[in-house]
Amino acid sequence: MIVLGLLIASQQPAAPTVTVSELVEPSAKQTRVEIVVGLPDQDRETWACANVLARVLTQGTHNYTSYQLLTYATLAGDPIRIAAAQDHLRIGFAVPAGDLRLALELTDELVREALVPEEAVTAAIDELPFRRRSPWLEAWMPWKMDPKQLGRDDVLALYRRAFRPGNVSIAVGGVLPQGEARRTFAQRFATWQATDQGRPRRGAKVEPVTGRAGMTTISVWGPVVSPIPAVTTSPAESYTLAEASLACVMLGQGKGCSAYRVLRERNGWSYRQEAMLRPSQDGLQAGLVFGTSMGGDAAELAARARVQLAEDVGKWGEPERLRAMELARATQELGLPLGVIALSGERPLSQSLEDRTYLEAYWRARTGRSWNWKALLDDMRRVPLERAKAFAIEWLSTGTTTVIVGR
Amino acid sequence: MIALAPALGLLFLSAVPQDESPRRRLILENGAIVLAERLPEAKSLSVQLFAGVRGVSEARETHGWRHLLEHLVLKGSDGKLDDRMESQGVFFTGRTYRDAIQVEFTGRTDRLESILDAIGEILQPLRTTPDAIAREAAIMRHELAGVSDSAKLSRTAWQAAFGDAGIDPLGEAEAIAKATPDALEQLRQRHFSPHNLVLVVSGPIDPERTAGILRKRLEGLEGTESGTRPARIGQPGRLEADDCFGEVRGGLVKNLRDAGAVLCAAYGVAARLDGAYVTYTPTDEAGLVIIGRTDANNTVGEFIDRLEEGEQAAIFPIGKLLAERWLAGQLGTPSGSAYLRGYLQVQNAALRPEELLEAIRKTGWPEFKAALGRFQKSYTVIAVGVKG
Repeated sequence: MIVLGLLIASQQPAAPTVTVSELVEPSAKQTRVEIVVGLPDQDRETWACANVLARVLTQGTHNYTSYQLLTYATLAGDPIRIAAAQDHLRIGFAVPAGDLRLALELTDELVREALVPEEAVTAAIDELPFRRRSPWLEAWMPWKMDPKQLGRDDVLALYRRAFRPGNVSIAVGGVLPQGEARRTFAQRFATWQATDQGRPRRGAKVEPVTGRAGMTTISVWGPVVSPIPAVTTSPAESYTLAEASLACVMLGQGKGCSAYRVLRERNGWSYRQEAMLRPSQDGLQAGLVFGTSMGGDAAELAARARVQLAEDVGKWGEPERLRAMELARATQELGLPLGVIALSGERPLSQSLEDRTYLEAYWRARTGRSWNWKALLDDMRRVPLERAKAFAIEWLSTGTTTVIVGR
Repeated sequence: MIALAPALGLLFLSAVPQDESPRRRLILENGAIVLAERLPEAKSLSVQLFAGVRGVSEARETHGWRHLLEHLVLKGSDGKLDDRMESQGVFFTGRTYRDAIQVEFTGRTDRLESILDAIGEILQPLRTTPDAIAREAAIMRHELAGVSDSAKLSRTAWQAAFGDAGIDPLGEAEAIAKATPDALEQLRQRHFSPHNLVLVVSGPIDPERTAGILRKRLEGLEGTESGTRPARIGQPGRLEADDCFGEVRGGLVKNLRDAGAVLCAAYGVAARLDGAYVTYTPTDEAGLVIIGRTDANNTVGEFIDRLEEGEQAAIFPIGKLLAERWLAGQLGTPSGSAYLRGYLQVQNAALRPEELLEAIRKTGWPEFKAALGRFQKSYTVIAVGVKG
């Protein structure tokens, strides 16, 4: 198995720098900044620490108060978004169209100058164990954390360890002169020398989620594919991103997919069901999630669902493939609220400027390449039906089931 | 570091582009309204059908029947409407609000006729059975079980403010299960009577020509005027929402224009509170502008009640700016614009989102300060989550 990690550092061993990419769109209404910071250690304790950090990053920097940060970062009308995902921390915000100076200032403050104040860390640590997430977010990120043994030192250590040249990917999208963001951002961070102060001490407790009222979620986790086209993490099976993406749409996207027809319409087991790819240490992992309020043995229900879905996959033909490709095409061309990749939440990344800029920053970090929806769509068109079926069958027959039982 | 004041000043001068999108609206003889709007830079077409609630009040014993009807009509004549539309790259969904059922289609412009065929199917008499109702009611139990904390808090706030007149449109599983085919068909006839219908198309289209196409699709519908809309009268109050986490404060608004300053105040507060959100469903009736958080349960009210005049003044410009940008952002997309225009017109043919925009723009410091007062403890609607 190839461990991808973040590729930025390994591609530029001599002098690691901040990766800056651009998505120039003169007709956009704003300028968008998305920052992806790789989590240096792939364990759940680091993830817990990253969650605390995500809560306190806006609580003041050396040059801005919390109020100023929140005010500046919402001038374009969107809230600032900071979230911890399995393999990265995401910071996203928008500034008024063309205001690269403000974009650069805010980026610099958040990336290098955060105060991580003691009282904010304490408040975040107190709140996190009680924080309620939607059943869907819990299903996609099925861990809860109790970080009360963490302290400011741990959070600061992660900040210093993760926020460093070679581990930060910035994408700037929307209204900006071609090349200007690359030039100014690269210039600003050219002399940045961060000091790694070591790993956080291991104090957080991270456990599987135990469920919430009325709703049980059942997830089936399938194969992992590389985000790099034609590079696979599992050479024996050699599945590609395009094959996994097509299987995702056919199995669990839209109202004509297998999961909708079998789980909802035929059996009445669920209202919502979806398949997407989520980030993991080794690449992108296929996941199918459905929610149910039925009582009884959820593990047994999961087993029945897997069998019936696999039978349905076995019957896939050209009509199912046509539906999936038309939906994927419309998602890309028209900006439907669908998509195959969910990076830091339950929501698939769409064709909005925000999501495309976020994907650009992430893709650069993971692959060293630019995100290209159109290329993926072209690759999906070339996938033989049998390959999509084989991927889905392997997913359903050998995947891991996670059940979060509702009370 | 950048000075805030000049930046804000410049933004106010150019915050929202002038609305120059040509539109064509027709009020048909049978009472239905069709509206076609040209958004030349849009990539997609949004086609939205609204069925208003004149003559369709919902009581406890029928709580959720409108929602059930929405589920059933979307299946189409053969139960496979969704599959047929997706195979043409058209995605559609339905939503049940307090003031209307909305069905939204998104697709390419060359799919307009197919989408209108689908709407024609949706407007046909409902052919369903007790078994089909039972199956759908079972699916809706899962939907109700998965309601988000923000939705639970919101429905609790509406309950506190309006009592039974503010009941949540999603409904109750027990009442939904008692619906019968005949009762649902009677409900459909009132809900989807031409007088209750608005059909909107927004996207890169020719408004005149498109309005003509829409007219042909709806002018043959028959139905009688089906009564009035249920009125709502709101009052401050506080209720606990079972088994959820978070807190909301709801500012009571009398109508669409009244919501302008209250939205500015809500956005001003939300900009200052990390993780806070604002929700408002535009309505000609009394309603709520909600500020909420679902990641903390005691910060929204605490922050608002302690706001001193200096801080109030500081959040005034940003609140006004964000409210304007929210509305302008909605009106700039086919989906957002068709929703706002259709949802308002199905309530009152004279209503336009530009009225709300004007109210936001005219909000001065005195109005903003008064609007903030509607979120303060003695005058507001409060819902707080408690452990179930």
